[in-house]
Amino acid sequence: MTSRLARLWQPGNPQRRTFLPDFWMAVVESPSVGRNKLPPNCVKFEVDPRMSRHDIREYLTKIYDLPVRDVRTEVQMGDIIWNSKLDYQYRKAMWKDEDKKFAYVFMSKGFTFSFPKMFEALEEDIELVKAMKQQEELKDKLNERFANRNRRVGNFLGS
Amino acid sequence: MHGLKRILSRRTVARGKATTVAAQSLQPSTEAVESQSLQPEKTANASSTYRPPYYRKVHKHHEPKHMLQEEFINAGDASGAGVRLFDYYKTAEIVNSMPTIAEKIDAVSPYERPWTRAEKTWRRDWHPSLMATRKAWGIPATPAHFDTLDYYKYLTKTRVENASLDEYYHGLRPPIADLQNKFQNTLNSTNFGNGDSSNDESTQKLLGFLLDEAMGGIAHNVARLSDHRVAYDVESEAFWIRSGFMFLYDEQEIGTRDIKRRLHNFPKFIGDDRRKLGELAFVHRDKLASQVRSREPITPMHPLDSEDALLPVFDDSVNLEDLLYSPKVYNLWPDESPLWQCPGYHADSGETHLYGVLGVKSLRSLRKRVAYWMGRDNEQDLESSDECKQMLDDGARSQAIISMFTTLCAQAHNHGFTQFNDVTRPFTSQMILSDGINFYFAVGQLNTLAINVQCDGFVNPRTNYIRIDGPHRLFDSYQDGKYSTVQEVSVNAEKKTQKKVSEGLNEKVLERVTQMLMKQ
Repeated sequence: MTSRLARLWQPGNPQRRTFLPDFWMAVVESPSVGRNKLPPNCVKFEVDPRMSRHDIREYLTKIYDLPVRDVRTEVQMGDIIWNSKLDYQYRKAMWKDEDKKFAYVFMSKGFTFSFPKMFEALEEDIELVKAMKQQEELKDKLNERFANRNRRVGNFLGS
Repeated sequence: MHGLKRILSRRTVARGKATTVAAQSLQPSTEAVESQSLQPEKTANASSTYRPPYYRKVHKHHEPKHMLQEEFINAGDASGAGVRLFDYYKTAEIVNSMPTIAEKIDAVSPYERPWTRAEKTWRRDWHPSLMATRKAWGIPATPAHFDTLDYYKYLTKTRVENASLDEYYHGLRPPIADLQNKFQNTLNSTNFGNGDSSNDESTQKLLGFLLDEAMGGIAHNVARLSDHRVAYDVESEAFWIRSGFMFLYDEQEIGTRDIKRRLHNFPKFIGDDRRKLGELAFVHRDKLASQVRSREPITPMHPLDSEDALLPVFDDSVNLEDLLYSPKVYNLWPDESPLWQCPGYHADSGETHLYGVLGVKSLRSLRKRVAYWMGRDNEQDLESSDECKQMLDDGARSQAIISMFTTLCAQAHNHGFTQFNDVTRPFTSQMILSDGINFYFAVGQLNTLAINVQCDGFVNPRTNYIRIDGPHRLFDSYQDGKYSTVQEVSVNAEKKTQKKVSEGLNEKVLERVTQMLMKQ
């Protein structure tokens, strides 16, 4: 449970207790549209694969004092690299990634969680690129008005 | 030559016809203009929807490749509505032509059996790939999520009114003294106590006893009851398709904020049609503690063409985008088993008592769920916290909506109506939901079943309706085998009330149960 090795238990010793297990949880971003969209009171975590639902609930309520109402977990199998992609019958696994465990934690009704925006500056750049692209398109549109569509000739003749 | 002449003459005839039609359409009469303005929204129907060529698809094949495709979109391709509607009305035609009700139900069932082992083994690369078979999303017998109310309203297109049912049962004053004594004796003989240690099974039995004793108390006066059929531990199952789930195919492109609807090279969502129409199949396999059925239906609350049947499910303030998620969010799971329409009996059973008058459902397992959500060790004292109370209330109301819709939907199917040929008369039923202590009473009406299609030209403003009254406590305190209730008694004509502790169970609950049995 912990990274420390416990002393070997001898009869008469007190029960071994772990006060802070080395469990970990990390918030994962979920898409804002589509089939994987989550309601605002639901937070998705990647958790230590050894953690159970109960552990997750305890972790969030006891340490962070969060209003946890429901916990659902999902284990996602790690990718397997096969020696042959198409031979389903006789292929051998060369490597398998570790399985991952995800937890969907539902908080009380009014709770809202939004994933922190860490790359806002970058997003602004994207907006700029987009605006430039739109301007380019607008240029073409302007020219379109003067084009004679009835007598369309190939580009190489027109220019 | 002769053949050519015939072709020419035919052509001229056709041309002549076309011109006359054009001439007529060019000069619209004043009457026509008036009638057009009076007409409501243009709706499609079987007579106005034509068979589209086979290559038309419900979705756009591809992005426009050149200017012609951009500017002059074929009307059939602009939206997939033409093809979808033709398909809908054709199915309706086929369903109508079926001789028996069991066949009609089979024809509209979205159930697809899973691929067999042989089919999977012997598929080769030159065969078409085995597409995932359609599974319906199973709605659990008790809500498995604490915030299902609005979602269930959407799934069943039901307008919910939380109001008293006194007006509905106005004029029915049954005797309840006998029931009061008998049911108290039953509670004592089953060691019900204050109800804390009760479980789902014992609650179901208790609700069965309550119904029996209420019937026994009024049977000598209400001759109609002798012809009713009472069933216990009833399976009430229905399947239906709900549209409006196209958002499940939306995807945000990485690095941009553009949202695209991905329909090609993207897996079909579970429960959806193979054409990716955003029409998910749902099934609810409900267990009722008991059910009363009759040969005659009870009087509907409002007719189909009234304004009440057209009122919207949600206010304008509700944004559907904040409400609609994948069914997984609400803890629904795909159900692989075959689907039935079974309101307590199967279509081919030859049942004569087709109308469910009253259904009784136990909500005991909801308490267990709420205790788990709130991180409690046991189900006692749940009412002490406001959030628990809210959860219990929302859960009970959600269950009332879904149980009522299931019963009525299955009943309508057993009368030959399906989602393709919508109901022509309303179906009404009553329901009691209880965890043994808190009682909810509901009256619901099925106004429409056609909730499976959502596209241009298909207009169906009708909504289903349910009125839920509750919670009413059966008793407020229990001591030494005696129950007592706090009741509000009107003091004077100005509707002033006073709280008064009286011995025995809540008379309002007992009266309402009896009234529900008497209602015609």
